[in-house]
Amino acid sequence: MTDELELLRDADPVSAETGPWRDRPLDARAELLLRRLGLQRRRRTVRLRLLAIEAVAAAAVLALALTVPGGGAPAATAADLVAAPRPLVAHASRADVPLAEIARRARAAAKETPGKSVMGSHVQSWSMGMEPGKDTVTTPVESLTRWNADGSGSRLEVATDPRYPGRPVIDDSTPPRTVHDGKVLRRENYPKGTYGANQDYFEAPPTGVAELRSYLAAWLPGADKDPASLLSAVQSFQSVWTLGPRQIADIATLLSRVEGMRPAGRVTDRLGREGQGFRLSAESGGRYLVVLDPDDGRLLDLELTATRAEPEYRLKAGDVLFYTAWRG
Amino acid sequence: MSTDEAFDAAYREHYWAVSRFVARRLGDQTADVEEVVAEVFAVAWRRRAELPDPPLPWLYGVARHCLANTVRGRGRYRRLLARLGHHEMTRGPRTVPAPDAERPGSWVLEALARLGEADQEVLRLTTWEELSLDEVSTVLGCGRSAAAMRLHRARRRLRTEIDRLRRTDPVALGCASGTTGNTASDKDGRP
Repeated sequence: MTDELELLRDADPVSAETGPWRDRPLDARAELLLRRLGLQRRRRTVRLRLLAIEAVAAAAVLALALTVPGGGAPAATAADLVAAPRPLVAHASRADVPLAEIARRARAAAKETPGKSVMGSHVQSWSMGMEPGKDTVTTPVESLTRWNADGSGSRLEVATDPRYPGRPVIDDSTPPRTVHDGKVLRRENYPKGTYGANQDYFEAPPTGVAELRSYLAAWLPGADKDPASLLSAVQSFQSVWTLGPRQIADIATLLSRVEGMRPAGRVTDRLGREGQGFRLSAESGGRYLVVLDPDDGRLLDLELTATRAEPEYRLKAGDVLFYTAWRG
Repeated sequence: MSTDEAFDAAYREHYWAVSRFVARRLGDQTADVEEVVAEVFAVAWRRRAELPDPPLPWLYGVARHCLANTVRGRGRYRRLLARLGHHEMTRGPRTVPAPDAERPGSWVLEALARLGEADQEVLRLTTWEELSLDEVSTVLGCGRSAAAMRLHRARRRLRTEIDRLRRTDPVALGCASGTTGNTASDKDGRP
């Protein structure tokens, strides 16, 4: 007779190999929690309102005030060491395209040119960062992730600051220093079968606005209710997938239905592209800027800025907490 | 390694294990898992000076307390709703079986559910969390011999319930789908 403990072991309802609680590196939500806890140790008495906004936003603000020691690293000029980017600027004009119209155009484009979403992404990103117990800066990074049908893939990350092409880029090594533009920070090749084993959003996204909303909420509970959570989910989702026209239209439609999304005007983003900007103030603090391609609704940029000063960290209202610019 | 560094390392290494621990005990209420896990690590952070090596059994112990608070909170909420007359929200489990009810081994879960909570917990810790007796004793806050005794008794009771299920529903236990418990049986008109 089979041992009763063995029977029970086989009936374990929660797997370590698959499902939402499977073993893998921390996801954005878990990193957010750790950073929140880490920040508490540094600011026990200061309010934490900004920290509730977003994983990367929770990251600390120490980069702003960083003074970089020499320590054998290449000499860094003051300009190199301004780690935090300036926020994007939006200009309202008569040519502004309403979000509902962009969503309509996106749906029309999806009908004309159907295509599937593709695993992998190509993004430019930066966020404030903090390692527990030490001051850090974070590097502006261009990352390219590709996946094949057999689950094999690759990831390449290079240091590059779109504000200063060709110039040295501040690097978050210890101690911080500068590296040359385009320096490879990470190059990984994954054997077949890797995809899905260690990725969020590993199932192909559905079509349909409601279905996509549910899909996002499955990975980030609350994304179907809270606008800031929805934006956070869209950001992480599109770091895994490069969307086809149908899903682009679904995302644009989802965004067009977000209460509180306000037109901001035309934006020239960090990659020199023209887009239409929309702002959303998160209830718990912080303000998002969403930049869409007005022609097909493609998400170009997502940026979060502080709405209140945090003098302890030399954070001023309007400072950028993170941005992501999708290149693909 | 400083206390803070030890906490960070424990967090990174055991975040998903703690999540599974919580998810197993919250059943189908997966939406609450992250909230409870966040509470577990918030409490662990405040008590990080006590963090032992290895930390996982201790984290499970913290999680047990957080889950108990969650369950107590739910009980209060349900009572409040009951007073307000929200019968729809306060009544017991629905008769529609969850998708998991069809998975192999669900009848073993039914046998487990028939045991007392203390028995269930020592069995879960031993099988699903794969803890040794020493680690079980850390989680339960008892001595090793007491943990061994609890496990011995719980195993015997689980075996009894499994045998009882086998006697009452041999057909269902013979196939992969199993049963869905009393509610489903009632629905089917079986005794």
